[in-house]
Amino acid sequence: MISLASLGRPSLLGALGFALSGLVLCALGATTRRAERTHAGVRALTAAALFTGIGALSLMNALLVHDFSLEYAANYTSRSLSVPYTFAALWGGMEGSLLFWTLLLTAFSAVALRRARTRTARLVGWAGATLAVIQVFFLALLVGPADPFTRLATIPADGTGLNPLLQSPGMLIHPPLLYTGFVGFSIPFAFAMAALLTGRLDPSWFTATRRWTLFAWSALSIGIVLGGAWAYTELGWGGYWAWDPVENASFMPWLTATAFLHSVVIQEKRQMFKVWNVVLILLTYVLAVFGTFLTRSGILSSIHTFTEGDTGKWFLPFLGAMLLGGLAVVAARLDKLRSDNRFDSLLSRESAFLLNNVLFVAAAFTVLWGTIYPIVNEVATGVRVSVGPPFFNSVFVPIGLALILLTGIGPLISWRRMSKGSLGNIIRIPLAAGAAAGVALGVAGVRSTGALLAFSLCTFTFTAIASEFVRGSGVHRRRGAPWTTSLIQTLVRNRRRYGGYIVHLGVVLIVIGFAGAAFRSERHALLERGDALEVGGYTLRLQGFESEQTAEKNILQANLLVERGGDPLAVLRPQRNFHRAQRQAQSEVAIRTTPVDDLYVVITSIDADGTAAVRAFVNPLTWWIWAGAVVMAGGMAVLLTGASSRPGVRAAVPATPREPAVAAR
Amino acid sequence: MMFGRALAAVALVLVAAAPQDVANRVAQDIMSPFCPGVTLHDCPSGEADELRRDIAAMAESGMTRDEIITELEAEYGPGILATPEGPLARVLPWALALAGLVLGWSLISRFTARSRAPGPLPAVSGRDRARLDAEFAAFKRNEFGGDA
Repeated sequence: MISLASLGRPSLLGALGFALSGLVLCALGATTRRAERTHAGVRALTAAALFTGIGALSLMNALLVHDFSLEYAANYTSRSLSVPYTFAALWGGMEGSLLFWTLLLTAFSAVALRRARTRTARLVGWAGATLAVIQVFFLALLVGPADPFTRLATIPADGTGLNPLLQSPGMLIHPPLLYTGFVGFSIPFAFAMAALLTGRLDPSWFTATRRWTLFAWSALSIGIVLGGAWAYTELGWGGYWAWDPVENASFMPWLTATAFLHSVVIQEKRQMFKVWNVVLILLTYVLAVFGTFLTRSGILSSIHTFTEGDTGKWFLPFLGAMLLGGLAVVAARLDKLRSDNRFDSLLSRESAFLLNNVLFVAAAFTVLWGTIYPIVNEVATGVRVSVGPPFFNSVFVPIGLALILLTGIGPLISWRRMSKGSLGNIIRIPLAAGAAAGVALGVAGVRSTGALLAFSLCTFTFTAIASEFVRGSGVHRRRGAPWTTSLIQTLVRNRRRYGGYIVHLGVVLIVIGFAGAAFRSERHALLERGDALEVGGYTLRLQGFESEQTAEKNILQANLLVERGGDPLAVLRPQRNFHRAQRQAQSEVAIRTTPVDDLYVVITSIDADGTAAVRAFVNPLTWWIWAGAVVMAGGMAVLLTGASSRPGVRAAVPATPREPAVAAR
Repeated sequence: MMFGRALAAVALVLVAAAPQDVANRVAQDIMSPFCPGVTLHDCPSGEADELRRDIAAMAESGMTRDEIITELEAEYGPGILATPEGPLARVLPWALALAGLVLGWSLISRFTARSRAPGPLPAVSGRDRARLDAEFAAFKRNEFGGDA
């Protein structure tokens, strides 16, 4: 009987064939302007998606039925692994993750191209060809050096199982969201290339892909935050962001994509920043693929990387071709990418947006430089060095604070020009609130300059956003509507503006959480039964241990009574577990979380005599990071429901008398 | 009460650096020889735990942060430093960021200067003024239903 897994490789070969056909047909359709060829190309790319889906289902089936004749199933699953983590093993290893990436890519391409066929028909040919090129690359990897369907000569009785660190609920959602973000950017990238190749550089290319851009950015944002939450609850070092090269790899495209989301508004409003926008989306896509390269090349040290294989070497020429090819097309169209308008004043929303963009891109390049510096230095001097959190924090904190300030000021400034007096009037209240917060915290004893600045700027920006909501809802309140109804009506009537403000509000809360790290306290000690450890005003008393055995692991749990000022508050139960299949010990942290602070406890070892090595952290305000992420997600949902794919929905800012024809387009 | 507790938590920063704080700071400022790409502070391995305890013992014995780091660098090599030395590492990112800011600002200034064409504003006739007033009134009515 033919096993389902035997369909995997043929289906991927079929997908590759369809992707190649799609490439030829879409390119022919675009060059000859024959719509039926383009439509045939889109159909071929849809077939590529279906065949990739069959390949992914074949692998998924092999994982679930424990078909250990497949090397991939033997390496990443075991009979004792629970079903959800067996499912997640699809993206737990290099080959499977590439298959998952390709599945998303082909599916997104098919949906985006089919939806765009009628609205932006002239772009679809080149967009399809661009997406087909990317698909061909990934499918060629899957049928070549990264084949997930490689068979073993000797079939083992059981598999190795998934790394215990990956056996966390975060594994079920964090990687898929990151991949969704990375792959999602290929859609606006392809349409930008199509706009350049066809010379149709009006805003239709990004209005057609606005939802995709927002969707990809939202998925990447939530994915990054969930990665932080995963690290926080799973890795046991009391933090959520380590500036690890692979974390950086997901952060860089997020920074450039955020810049793009802002600058594209200026192109819609003022027909400016056309070159900047295509370069930004090109950079975003290249950086997204660069992240994939980093995790698969082995050129950087990271706990995130896939250690096996040398698939990464194939990414470098692909990345080079994408970047150079993209820049060449931009250069060829520079004459058509001139701005139709100019800045009217330094004090304008356009200027604020440009400054915001410069800061985001500077931040992205700083992170890029810090990430690749160890390689550059090794090539130049032969000495391997490290670049860690102290470097990134010293550079990134000032940039981040400047961005928070702009987040507050930007929406208050009007388009084109604003007088200093008007600006003074409008920022008076937020400025006073920010200054008051700084003074209050200073009086309360806060001496950390960075934290004082962060809290003051967050208060300023929070007040500025709140004032926008108050101003916006004023119209409805004057008509007699109650506060809540007014706010809802304001939000619903202009979801893009107020959805954006909600996202900004979430960012402010997240920064408040980050600033809390300045006051973190940490203690570690060897505790015997009855011993106590003092940390940040809490007392942790070791009451004893409990043990349990499950199908996968031996659990040893410590019971720690938490007291504050002599009053018992809770019992925390951190664990030190032994995963039998992997013969690996792992700690499970225990956290008591409140909006004020988190008490975070991890047992790093337990000796035979019952002595536990305990690390305890008090992390003030960390709760606000997750609360901010939830607020951000709410804002993203509002933005996504308000994003239109139809061109010409946004009202352009009226042009100056000298340039009426272009701006009125 | 919550605000009071938050202030109290924040005020912890005023407590003088204890040896464990010095040890924690050192662990945050060096890379782990046992976990790739991660500081010693963040490394979950057992060897890292032992090294953190050794560093705590050094801090207890009165060694300063710099003395401990020098000793660790001598033992494990320069790769252990989380912030590499040298102008390329320290200056270039700032230079890039500053260059970006200067470039952005100069772009704005250039475009602004170009578009500031001096000259008298054309006179507005009474009919045009009435039309403008009507359009402004319509704009104000729709202002909060408009777009960002």
